[in-house]
Amino acid sequence: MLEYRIDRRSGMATYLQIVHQTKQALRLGLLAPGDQLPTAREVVEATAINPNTVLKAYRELEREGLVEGRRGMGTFVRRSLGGAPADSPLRAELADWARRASAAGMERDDVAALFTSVLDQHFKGDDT
Amino acid sequence: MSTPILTGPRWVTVRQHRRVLWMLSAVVATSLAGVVALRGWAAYGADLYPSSPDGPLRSAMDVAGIGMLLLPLLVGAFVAGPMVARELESGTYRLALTQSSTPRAWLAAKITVASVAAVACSASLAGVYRLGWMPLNGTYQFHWADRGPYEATGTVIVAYYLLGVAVGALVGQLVRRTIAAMAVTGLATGLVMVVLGALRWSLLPVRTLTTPTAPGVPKLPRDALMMDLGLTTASGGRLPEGACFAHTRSMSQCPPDMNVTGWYVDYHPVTHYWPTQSIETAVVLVLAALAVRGAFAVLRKRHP
Amino acid sequence: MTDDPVIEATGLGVRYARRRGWALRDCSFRLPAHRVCALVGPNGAGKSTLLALAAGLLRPTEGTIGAPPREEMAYVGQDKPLYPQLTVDETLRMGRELNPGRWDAKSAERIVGEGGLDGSVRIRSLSGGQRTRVALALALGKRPRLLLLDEPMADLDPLARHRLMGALMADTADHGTSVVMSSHILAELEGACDHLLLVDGGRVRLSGAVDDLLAAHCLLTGPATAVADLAAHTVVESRTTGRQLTALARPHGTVDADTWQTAEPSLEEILLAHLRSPGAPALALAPATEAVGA
Repeated sequence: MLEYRIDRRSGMATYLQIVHQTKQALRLGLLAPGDQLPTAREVVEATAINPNTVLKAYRELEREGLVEGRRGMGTFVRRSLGGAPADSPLRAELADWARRASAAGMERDDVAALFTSVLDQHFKGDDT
Repeated sequence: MSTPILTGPRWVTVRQHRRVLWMLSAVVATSLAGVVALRGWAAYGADLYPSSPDGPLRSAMDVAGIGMLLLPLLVGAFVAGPMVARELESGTYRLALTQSSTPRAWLAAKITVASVAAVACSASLAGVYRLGWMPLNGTYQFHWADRGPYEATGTVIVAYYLLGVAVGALVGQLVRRTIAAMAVTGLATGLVMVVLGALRWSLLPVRTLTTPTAPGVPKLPRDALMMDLGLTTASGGRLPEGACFAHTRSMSQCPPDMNVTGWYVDYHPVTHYWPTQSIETAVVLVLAALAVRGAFAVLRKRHP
Repeated sequence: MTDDPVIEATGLGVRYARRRGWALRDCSFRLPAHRVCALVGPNGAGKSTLLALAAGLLRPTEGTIGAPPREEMAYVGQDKPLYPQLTVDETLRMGRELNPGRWDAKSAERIVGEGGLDGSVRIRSLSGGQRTRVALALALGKRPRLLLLDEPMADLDPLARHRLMGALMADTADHGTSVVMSSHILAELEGACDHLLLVDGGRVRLSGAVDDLLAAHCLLTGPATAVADLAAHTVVESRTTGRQLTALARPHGTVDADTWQTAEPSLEEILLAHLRSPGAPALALAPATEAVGA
């Protein structure tokens, strides 16, 4: 089951961290349709955050149609996200590209800056 | 120790102070064993101490009398200090007073447990004391009206224990410091005992015996407690017993111009013992009730 | 969703007989139910006094405070008062004896059990974290509607703090308990709390849902010459460095985006700005994000 890591220093709202990490898990295929998300109780017991924060994150995921809450049973994944599971060809290509960038003598920050600028160019106005 | 009576705050109180409750039982048991042993000694030890076989019993009962008078002070000090003031001082009252049971029940449990223990302890100790005192009854310092035997053989001792509990419950809340509350309670309870001890023989009117001057000082009934002795005059006045001696160098020969008619002696007969005990017990219980009322009033004012 | 307030204070004031001045004055606020509220402020601000008032341990000198009755409320004092001579098991039994008909032995035992505590150990030989755990078990075993915790996490190591906060949050998730906990360190409570009450100098400076408070404030950076623009907004604190002016403000209407760079402040920044500016007006946000009296 999914385990959330809450970083208080990240500056990102806690509920958004849960939303992001859930989506990340969906993208990487760690969560598949039908899988159950941890209950609010389980999340707060492990992370010591407010239960309403977890519920807010789940509501947000529900609003986006990614999960659905079933009364008295829990929250379940409805659909997966993106087409790049952990073992997809796209990931392999990106890994290959990163290797080449490294071989070309680029630093980690240079690579990240380059990657972000390309992302910004292709995914304008889409921040999730 | 889990009878249906022992639930809620009372259970908590007993659990908190069970050590002291055990200690009280041990004191009673030890003193009983001691008195039985000393009486045995007094009865069969005549061969060893032919002059005064009851010597050890006498000394022990002397100490026991003082102990009986001090215990109410100690019981009061315990209620005031460890039972009440310590909770206020250490802050555990905030734990006790935020439970479902009421603050009233909290204080009531302390007073109830302490009172039951005090009555049981004082009544048994009074019984033990009486056991040791009986063979000494009427001898020097073991007269029924002497301080020590008077309290320890009667009902007042139980009342004084209860007074200690009540004063402790009140002072403990007012002083709120363990040691100070203990000291104040001990002093206050002791003061009441001293004052009532001084007043107790004024509670009932004395009986008076008058005799002519000639044969000498009047003879009192056996066991009577003499209160005052002196000379009566023709006008009905009273003179101190040595009034004539100053003039004639004789106690019973008086100058005619003094108009002395005879001796008088004021006394309490032994039959005054129980009436005096009853009145004093009632007075002490009323004081205890007032202190308990005060204790609840203070609590109500602070924690409605 | 309209929540009934679980605590409602009006014109609350407390004056201690032995100390000079007011420990708390003119405090009016409402805490909605089913929230976890952080009661923050510097040392000596009146946090403990406020909690003792809510717990009914103290009578207000003036004003009123409405809170659930004794049976439906639990309180854990700053020094975690427990009877040192009782064992852990006896302490839990005490919870049952003093809360007949309400006591949830399972919850209490689970919290104690999760700490790996031996029931036969006396309270006096427990560590700080273990004591806090027992005090919390005693409080939660009562199944309170409102739980008041005075500096619950002080003098706990980070792991114990995290575990206890986790246990507490799990309980609120299960039962919807309303919680008010105080601390002079916001970081201790941030993340766990969704409501905030800032007390400073005996007065309530901020009260409202954390999200609403964040939304109501704005960090503005712009030229010092445009200072007049700020008059339209409530400025909590402003600083001029050279030609640049930085301000934490509560904007009213729109902020001119050409002159001012805006950023969302963190909760900590909002708190610090208020503590540095004792004269800044108080803000009380009702659950529906409308200002009650600024």
